[in-house]
Amino acid sequence: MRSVAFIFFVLLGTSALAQMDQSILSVGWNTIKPLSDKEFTNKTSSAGMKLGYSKLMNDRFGFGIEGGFNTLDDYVPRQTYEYPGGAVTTDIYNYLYYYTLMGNAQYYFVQTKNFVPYVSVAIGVAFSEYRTYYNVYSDADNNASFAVRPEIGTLFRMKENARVGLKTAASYDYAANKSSYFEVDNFSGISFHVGLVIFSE
Amino acid sequence: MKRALPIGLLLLTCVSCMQEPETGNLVKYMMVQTAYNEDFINTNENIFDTYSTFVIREDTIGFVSNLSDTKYFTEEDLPDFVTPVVGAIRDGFAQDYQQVTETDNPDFAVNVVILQNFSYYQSFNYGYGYPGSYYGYYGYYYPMVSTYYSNYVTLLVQVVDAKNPNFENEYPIIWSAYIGDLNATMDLKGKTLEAVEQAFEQSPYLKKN
Repeated sequence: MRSVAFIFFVLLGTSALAQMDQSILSVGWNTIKPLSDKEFTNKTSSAGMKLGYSKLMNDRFGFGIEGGFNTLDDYVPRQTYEYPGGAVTTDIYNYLYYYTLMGNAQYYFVQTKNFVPYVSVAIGVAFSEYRTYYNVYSDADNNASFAVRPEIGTLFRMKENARVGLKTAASYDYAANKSSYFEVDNFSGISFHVGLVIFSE
Repeated sequence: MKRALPIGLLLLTCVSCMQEPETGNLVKYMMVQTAYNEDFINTNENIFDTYSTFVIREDTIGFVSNLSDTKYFTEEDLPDFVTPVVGAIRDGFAQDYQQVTETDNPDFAVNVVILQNFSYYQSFNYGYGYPGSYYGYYGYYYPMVSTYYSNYVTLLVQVVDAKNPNFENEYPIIWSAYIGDLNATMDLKGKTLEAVEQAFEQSPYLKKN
């Protein structure tokens, strides 16, 4: 799954940089705070990134694609788990490798000033790899599911008509993934994103 | 060339985000898994209540490997490991049972074996697994060796009943403890002894009431 993410990001980056139309390429760090699955991973993760490419239809509307991933992790101290027929004692490192690939639509409130606030909604698919590490052993469960991400943010141009700018955004992630193996029903979280944007004419 | 830099930075960022726990933290404690035969230990009975004597081979630890023909290790082969580890296991059982020799018709035998590159998870069988002999590493039998490859090295401690062979003269495995990984640990003796103690602690039925 991780190799698929690599290929996606390379292809997306290459195609986006080749565009010279009215478009916006963005890339940056993504921090996510989980709101569900807290028994598996409860810690806020800043080990993530997000990449997007948007085509502007006019001053107000745009659409595009975006991809992102975060690695969420948590530590469960050593304890004994009993079950019928036996028990196991170990400490556990829980990892969630969370990837998204989505199409999105944006609405820009202002297009002519340095600040360009916007709202967007992205819909697509989330790939989740739940993995537990204990000593040298590990178990994993992979799944893919529907995902949605409403977002609010702003673009910032250093000066008017600058080709490079900054982006900051907050979004809500929901993925309908399920892992019966690890007893999780879905994933949701609040994301904060800070990155660079490149405006193309 | 202009595209190479951002793509390179992007890949670097991807790699930095794909984290895994550090090995040093992972092997801080050994994993201890214990399992008991529910045909002999259940809400109605505990066969350990009926036992009085046991036998254990103290001079060797058996060795089962997909990669080697070695059948056992002596203290000379694994200095400061065989004697203290077998001693800790013996002491654990000796709290409630009397250690005897093989010729004294013991109630159960304790086998201590190191498994290397051996797919024990897939092959584990609680049934009557020791045909013809409940004890001894020479000709040690374990069902279904798999070709599945791993670097795992696991200490297996098994209690084999010596009183209740079935009609095919097979002796049942009553209790097993899997302790690992012996290969990755930074403190082989210390962490193994700690894990042996934990195996007894999480198996409170291993005593005579």
